[in-house]
Amino acid sequence: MGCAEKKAENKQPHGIDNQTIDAYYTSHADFFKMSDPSHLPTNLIWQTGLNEPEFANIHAPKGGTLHLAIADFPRTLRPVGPDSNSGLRDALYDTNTLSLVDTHPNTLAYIPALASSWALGDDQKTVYFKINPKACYSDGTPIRTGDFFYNFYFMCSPHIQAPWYNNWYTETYESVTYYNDFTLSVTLKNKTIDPVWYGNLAPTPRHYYGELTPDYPRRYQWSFPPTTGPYELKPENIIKGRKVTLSRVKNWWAQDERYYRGRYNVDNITYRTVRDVSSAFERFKKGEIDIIDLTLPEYWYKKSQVPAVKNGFIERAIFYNQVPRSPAGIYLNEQAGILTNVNVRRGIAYALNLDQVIETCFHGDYKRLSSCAEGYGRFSNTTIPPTPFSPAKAEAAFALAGFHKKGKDGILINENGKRLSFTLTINNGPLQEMYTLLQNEADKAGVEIILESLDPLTVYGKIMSKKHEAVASAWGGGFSRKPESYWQFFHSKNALTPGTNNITNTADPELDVLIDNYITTESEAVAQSLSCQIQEKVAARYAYLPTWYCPYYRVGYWRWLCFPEAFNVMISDNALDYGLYWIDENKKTETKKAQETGMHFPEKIGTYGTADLSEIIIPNG
Amino acid sequence: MDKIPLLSVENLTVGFTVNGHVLHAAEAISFKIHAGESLGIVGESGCGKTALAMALLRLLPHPKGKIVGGHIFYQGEDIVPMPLERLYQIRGGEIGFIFQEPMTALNPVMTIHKQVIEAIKLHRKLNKSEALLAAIQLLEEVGIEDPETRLKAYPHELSGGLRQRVGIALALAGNPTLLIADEPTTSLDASHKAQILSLLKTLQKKRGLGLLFITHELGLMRTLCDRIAIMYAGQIVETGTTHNFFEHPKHPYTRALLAALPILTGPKKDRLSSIMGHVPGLGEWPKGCRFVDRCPHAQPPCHKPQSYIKTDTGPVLCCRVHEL
Amino acid sequence: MWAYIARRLLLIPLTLLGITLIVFALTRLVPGGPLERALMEIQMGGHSKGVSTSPLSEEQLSGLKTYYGLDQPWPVAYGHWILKIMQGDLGESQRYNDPVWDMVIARLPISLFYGLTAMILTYGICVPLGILKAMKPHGWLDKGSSIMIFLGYALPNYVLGSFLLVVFAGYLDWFPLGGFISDDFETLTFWKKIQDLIHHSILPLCCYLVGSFAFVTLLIRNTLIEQLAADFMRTAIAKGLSFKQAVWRHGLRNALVPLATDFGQNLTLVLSGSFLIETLFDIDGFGLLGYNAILDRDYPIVMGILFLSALLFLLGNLISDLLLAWVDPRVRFQ
Ligand SMILES: Nc1ncnc2c1ncn2[C@@H]1O[C@H](COP(=O)(O)OP(=O)(O)OP(=O)(O)O)[C@@H](O)[C@H]1O
Ligand SMILES: [Mg+2]
Repeated sequence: MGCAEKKAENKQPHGIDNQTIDAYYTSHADFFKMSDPSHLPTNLIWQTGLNEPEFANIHAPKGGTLHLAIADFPRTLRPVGPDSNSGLRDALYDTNTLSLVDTHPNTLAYIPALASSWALGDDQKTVYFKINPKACYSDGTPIRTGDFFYNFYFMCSPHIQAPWYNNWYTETYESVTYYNDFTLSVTLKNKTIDPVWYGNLAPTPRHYYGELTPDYPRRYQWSFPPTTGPYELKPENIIKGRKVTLSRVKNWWAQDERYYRGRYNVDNITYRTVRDVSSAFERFKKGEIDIIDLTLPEYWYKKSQVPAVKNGFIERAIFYNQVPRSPAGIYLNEQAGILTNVNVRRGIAYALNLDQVIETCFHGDYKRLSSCAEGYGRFSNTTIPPTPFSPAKAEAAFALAGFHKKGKDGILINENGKRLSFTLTINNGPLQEMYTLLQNEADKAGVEIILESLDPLTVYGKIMSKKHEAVASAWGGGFSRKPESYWQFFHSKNALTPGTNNITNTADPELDVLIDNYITTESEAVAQSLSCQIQEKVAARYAYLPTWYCPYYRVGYWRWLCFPEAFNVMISDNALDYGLYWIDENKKTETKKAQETGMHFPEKIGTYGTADLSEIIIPNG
Repeated sequence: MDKIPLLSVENLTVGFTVNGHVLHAAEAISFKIHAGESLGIVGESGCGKTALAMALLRLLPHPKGKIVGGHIFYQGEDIVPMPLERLYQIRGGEIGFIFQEPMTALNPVMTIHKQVIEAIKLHRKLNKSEALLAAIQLLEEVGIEDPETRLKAYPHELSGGLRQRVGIALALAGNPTLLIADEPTTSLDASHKAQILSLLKTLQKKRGLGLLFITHELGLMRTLCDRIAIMYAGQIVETGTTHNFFEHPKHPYTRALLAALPILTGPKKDRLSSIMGHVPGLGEWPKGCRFVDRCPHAQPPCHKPQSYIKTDTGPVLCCRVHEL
Repeated sequence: MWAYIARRLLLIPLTLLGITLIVFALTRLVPGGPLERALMEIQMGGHSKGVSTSPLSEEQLSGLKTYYGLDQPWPVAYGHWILKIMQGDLGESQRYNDPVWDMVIARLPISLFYGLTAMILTYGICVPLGILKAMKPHGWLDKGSSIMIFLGYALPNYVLGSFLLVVFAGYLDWFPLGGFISDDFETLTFWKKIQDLIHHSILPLCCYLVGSFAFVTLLIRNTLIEQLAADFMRTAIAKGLSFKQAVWRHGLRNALVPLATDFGQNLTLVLSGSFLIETLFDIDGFGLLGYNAILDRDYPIVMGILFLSALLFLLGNLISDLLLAWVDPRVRFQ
């Protein structure tokens, strides 16, 4: 193995040199606890997670180069700190980092990663991990308990200029304990139904960063630290502004491990900056880019009708994934004017012709979102139906709120002559078309939507100062087993407080109780039931009006790029997620030859995944 | 006396294309100028004097203006069909041209030096210093004091009178034998006007130049010109010696002109304009005598096409010339 | 004249002070600065592990404010900025953490290449073309080229660019799909490098040229036609010059006067570039840098580029004026 020869036996967790880090540990002895294996609880049940099915094609050949395009070159290559949220972040870090354990992408069970086994403490707050002795960074340095200690030092440092990270690590964790170089435990502040999810840390290489100083952001702006993942970015492979090339870590320690076999097969992945979408598509048609996203209807239905597709040189696939859906929707401010009346809000829900938007703007491909937490399996309340478009029901609801009469312009007014009208703030951009359609349809129900289209930053400023009436927004988010955001979005503590995500300004004591219980419960079953109740309650308030989601991703790719039979795993966000693909060089020469000789292959469109919600696999429990 | 005239214009017709139609600005013009002789052409504004003068050196604006017919013999050589190479030699080298507007006739972005030297070098084989000397002489000849300094100046730095002197110098630079001056004094004030006139006269005498002097100011003619041609609406209506012109005018138009001339020093208005009515514009000319609408003696025959009638003073374009 | 130039040069710093002061104040007073952008990215990014979305403490916020240089009142911050400028320091990008000056220098070759080539081509082609058109107005060359010019002018250069890209780089495959040079540029021989550069630059150049092409050609054509009808042209011809000589020696110089009035602005070519064309052809030039800096709220870059382009603009104006005085002696310095 790559790091076998570099057997450093770090008795103490320490990195390159300086005592300041060690001093930091000592001065935070309550957090950084030193212990020894004899103090490990004896009743621990160690999990190895080796009984889950493998999901890669373990016979996939290695080699080749994958050519991809990115829309903008990152401002930095740092993993943490200002601007580290770039378009390359996923490729460099989020999908290219092994943490202690991994989640099986189909069964959602925990599987080994850096840790070969783990165990849950009795307190429902502590998780124990045993590090795989083979585990090492891309530079060959072995991964030891000290790297997890250092992770806290790093993430809590003010010098990374990322208080959000500082906060997370201080809010979430109680302590971390060193037993030996291969054994550690992580203790959470609060009990939770899924401590492993929280306890699952990624190491930070102390030998690379050492003591952090205020120049951290600048100093590491363009450097890629030693990684635990399958690909590294060497300095000579960075052409600033134009291109980066990831290369497969030589003899990556995990490459033959169960669950990692047959994955991360290509030797190199190049990301070229192609800022213009149509230019990227031209490059794809030329074969300079191997795979391209065709999720947009325009590209899927029209622009991909090219000879290379018809001749089977380019294949297409549509994959119905099962991931938590972003809570896209219209957020009505419960504390603003007429919107304080629940009947007004309910009426608005009936006045939104979302089906028509999906039909006309999304080719009928998108789906109605019905709740604020969809795609979380049992945590999602599937009994909430999407609100249908019904001017009659809308008017009935408006009437209950006192809006009886229609004015000359067809907009309802109440006894005081107040018009039923509110301002909907939206981001300028491609979605304006959809909201204009909603606006026109809402007229039929007698409610006037005034669209205010602003640049995203201005919209953000407006909603964070809670000065909006209504806003159309979507929050991003990574995969999580259970909805995490109820407290942020709907707890009265965050209502009317500037800078919080409760942009509906919802303040409902009953809802607060449910949310508080949801956070503290230790029982998964209780949590699931509470989650469903919260969603029902949120739905009944009609402050968050869910709109739509995209139940799939669609791609076009040159036929030499191969995927496993199932194409990808259930929770994949895109075709390349989980690194299951490989490049077939024979097919490549065959294709090139065919292009020259005028031969062709059958056109291929594959449909994978499942669009059926009932097939969702329930998290282990 | 039957030498070849310096310039002999025969039946010259000049046209402008307006909206696709060729309209004549000067029609069937004939006259002669002998060496050393000066001919004045007088006519109201718009009667085609400039058109005629331009046509003589084929300077009409291309492609609108055009010589429709006739001949222009310069020392027996017809300018109308002449190849361009020869024409370039004649322009400036044989015939000099003085323009009406001294303010715009000079290139504003070139020094006087450059413009004069250029004209000299075009027609005379001189080296640099010789050309400079010639330029200084030339300026002195046209009465410019301190020529060395003036040469360095740009046109806008000179007064109108000086500029016109430079214009004359330019016209003389190629040592021409014939000078065409198209209203050279019209835009000058009275004192400059007199100076320029006497300058022209001196030069003409000294160099023995043929001179075609165009003006609408009758008074200028008396001292300067040997003979006078009266132009009306594109035609020459009467030609004769200066003496006969003032003493024995034949054409009713000529008479009207003279009658309208109170005293030479009278108010500086356009004296010709005091004749009742106005000159008909291009294409509005009557079929017969073009003066018919303004003529106090008009009779039915006047409405028929006219031809020149010989008189003791010269040809006159009026059917009733002998009856009046 | 020297006094005039000195006076104009003295005015430049004052003007720059005014311009930069206004923009600097704007960057601070307009809502939505770099801090808000950073907050938004985190908050709208949604819930992910390792990142807390609970509101930041005052202390944390002020820490970030310091990081983004927003901790001082803006007049003070502006004072610091000006002091730095006077020492030749344009500051450092807040997002790239690179010195703005270095970022400018890095893009200089690209902008200089496109700017100079476009300028040489514009003047090299448009001036002769304009002259030819003026000498035979309404001839076949004039009419034919006018149709092309108007077509090019009416077409937004982005649309033209997309079209050229799809047809000539995509479908016909004659040109590369964007980029300034090939990836293996360093390894090429000198001549291959030149070839590579030309190969990459033809399509973007077409886009850069359409607009100015029409403008300069028509300017030359129309002023020359005007000049050809001027009295001094007739004088020149009456002197015995041929038409061509008269055009060259007399007409042209006068026709160049309006061209001289903004010739100095070619100086700003050094910092120019269209973000649309640069996006389309993936050229890392000033257009993109400036545009992104504004979107990014990367104010040091915004201010740096503003400062440099204002400086060049003012110098360009001065050069234009001097040039105009040189070609047209009627213009005087007051
Ligand atoms: N370029 C042209 N196109 C069309 N018509 C023209 C042009 N130049 C002159 N004309 C017309 O030809 C006629 C004669 O003009 P011309 O300039 O020869 O008159 P003129 O006798 O010199 O008058 P002035 O005393 O005003 O100089 C006028 O009716 C004028 O309108
Ligand atoms: Mg005239």
